[in-house]
Amino acid sequence: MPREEADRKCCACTVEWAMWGNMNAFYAGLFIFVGSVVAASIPEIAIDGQFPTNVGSALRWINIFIGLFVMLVEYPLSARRSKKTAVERPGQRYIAPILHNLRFVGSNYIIRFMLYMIISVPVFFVLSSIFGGLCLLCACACYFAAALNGESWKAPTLGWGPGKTVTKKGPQIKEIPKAPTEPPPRPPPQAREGLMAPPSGSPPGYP
Amino acid sequence: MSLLPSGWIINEFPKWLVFGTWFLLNIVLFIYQFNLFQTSNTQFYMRFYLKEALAFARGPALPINFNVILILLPVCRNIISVIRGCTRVVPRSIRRVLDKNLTFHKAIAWMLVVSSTMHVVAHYYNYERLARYSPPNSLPPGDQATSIPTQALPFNGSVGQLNPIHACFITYAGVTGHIITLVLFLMITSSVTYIRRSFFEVFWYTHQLFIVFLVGLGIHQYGRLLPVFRSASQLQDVGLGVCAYAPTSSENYTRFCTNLNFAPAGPTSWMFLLCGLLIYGLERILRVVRGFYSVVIIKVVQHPSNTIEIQMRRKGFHAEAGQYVFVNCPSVAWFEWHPFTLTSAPEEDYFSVHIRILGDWTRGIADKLGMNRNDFQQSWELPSIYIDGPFGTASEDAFEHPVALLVGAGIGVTPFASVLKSLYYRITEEGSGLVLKKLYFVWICPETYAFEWFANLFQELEQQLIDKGIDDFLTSWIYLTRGWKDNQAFYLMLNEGRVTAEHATDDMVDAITGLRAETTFGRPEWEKIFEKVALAHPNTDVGVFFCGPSVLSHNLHKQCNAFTKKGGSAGARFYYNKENF
Repeated sequence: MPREEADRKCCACTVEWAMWGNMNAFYAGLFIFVGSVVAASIPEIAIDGQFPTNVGSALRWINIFIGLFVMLVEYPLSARRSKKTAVERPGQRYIAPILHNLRFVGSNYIIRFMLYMIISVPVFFVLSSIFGGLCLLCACACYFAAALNGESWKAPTLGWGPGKTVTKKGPQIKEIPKAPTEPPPRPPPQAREGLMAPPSGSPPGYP
Repeated sequence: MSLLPSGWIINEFPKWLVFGTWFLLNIVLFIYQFNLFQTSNTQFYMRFYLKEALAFARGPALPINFNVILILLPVCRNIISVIRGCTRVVPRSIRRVLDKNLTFHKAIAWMLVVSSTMHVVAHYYNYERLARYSPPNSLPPGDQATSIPTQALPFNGSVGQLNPIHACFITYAGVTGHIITLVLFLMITSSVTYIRRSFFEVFWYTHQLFIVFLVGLGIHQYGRLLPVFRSASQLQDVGLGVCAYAPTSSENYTRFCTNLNFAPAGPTSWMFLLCGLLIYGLERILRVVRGFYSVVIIKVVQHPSNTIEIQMRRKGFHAEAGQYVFVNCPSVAWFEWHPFTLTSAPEEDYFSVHIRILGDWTRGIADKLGMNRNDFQQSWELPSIYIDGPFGTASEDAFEHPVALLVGAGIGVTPFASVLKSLYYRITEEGSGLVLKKLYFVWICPETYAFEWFANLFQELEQQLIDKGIDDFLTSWIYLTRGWKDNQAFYLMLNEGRVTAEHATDDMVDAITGLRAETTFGRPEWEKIFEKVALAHPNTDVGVFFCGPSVLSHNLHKQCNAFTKKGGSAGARFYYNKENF
């Protein structure tokens, strides 16, 4: 059987752009971080005993934090809309509550799209983080598509999540038994049938 | 008994040999290129600025080129199918390695990712160092090399005066490097399993960017940025260090170093690319030529559970059991080719596919074929269909083992439909010289209703075998893992799983599927099944064929190796074959 035939099992479901956006953004954050660390790791040269106070070196440090920030925001995966398979990154339940408590700031993808657009500006001014910046722009495009598609970030129900209590199932009872009509103490059912058949006389053990 | 378990030798060794050779070649190429740039005189002056980072940037370049040739090969499905088809020339062990083509494709892709990452990070590092230390600045304090000629550096050592964006976007290397790395990034992120499985279209369309990747890589070195020192011989007597350490005003410096001969390194990637592209071009031509033949639809059958069967004929079409084809219907979608397993036997005079209606495309083709029409559809109203294939998979080999154990899980039973059909023709044919003497079939599915067409087919086969009096040929077990109700189980328990068949008075059939095969609830106990097979067939080659999810595949693979080892030299030998899934 061709692999694609198995891959296409879910061809009926619509594309959730945010899933791909998350993938792109998380690794964009990683590349921004790595690129900026590479740039910041090379020492500046003191000319005439004075270090250059250029904007470039400040930007390198800012970009390191931007990279870390994006990775942190993107670490927890959202719950799937079609609730089919929930994929989670290890240990994401410690970060997901933060995003969840931010309400619409954390869940709205148009806000995320705009935030990343703004954040990516300084990234393009340091050469070694340009590649990460390009990846982040791709992620932005995905999030924009996700926002147009009406998607939003939802806390996953596995591990941590407000949905956990909702999904918990109690014992299911199909029929509610009728309330007893007689006050206790009651005879065992067999004895009671015997009681009903001959209407006269009192059964043994019944006052 | 050898040192290594024999199960490992027959099942793993060919695969790991190919994988190991490839991996070792990558390492060797990296070390060769790394060493070249670390020691050669041609980069002597550049190394003062870049230290080891130069070799780290150039080292992965050779593995990248090497892997770019290779990455296209495993996806040349027509060529692979042709090689697989030459059963007389190509031994079984190599055919089994060919079945791993997509695993190799992935491994090669990951090697590309690793070497590209190293290349990109090292080049960023190189750029930052050059930007900071090249003239008018100087090397860090403590470094005595103060008089290196500027021609030894890219841009004549003027990188420091350029702004980063400018430096990145005025060179071929900068522009193409960023584009192809971005393309690689998008291709990788969209082919991660959970995205590929969920949104196949995103994966498929993003993967078409490989053209951009190849073209970009071809012109990546066209800018000739790297200066190569060409005239080491003239400095033989005084040493190359003169032009780095000697004061610019000294006699030696003015004599030897004022007009050194530097020439840029020429592009080389295109040579590697061409090899891969030639083979891939051949593949595409094969696809086009094969696609040109028109297909005649001879019958469309509607099965229960939203499944349709299309029976077709094409001139010169011949498929082996268990192969698959790509189907294209221009009136539904022009460019979409969808893979389907063939469900007809090679002995039949037509070929057929079963299509389950799940998505837009399958619904579209069902409507075109007149599924929802009440009146009769004329044959000229049928849409034209194009077929690419057939492509080979492992189940062709099922007949070449004395004993075969077929395991189909879920949707993975489809390839076995044609195998079982073909088996029937081969048994009944006199003097066919069939190697296969005994067949075990295990069918695991969540619920049978989606595969009613398969159950019907299987039921017919059973009946036909009984009619011919060879009912001991096939032993089958069916496992229902989900989708059975409590009362169903209760009913089964009461009847001890068997009810009298309506059509055969003295025979018992299964209560759920109506088959002679026994239905069991829950998952199969593989140890018991393997033990049974191993005991029944000592000193025999048993081919195990599986199609289904990978978790089960790993388990079966382990069982094959374990029971082959357990049996020793006189026991059954289990050959594991997995269908791509």
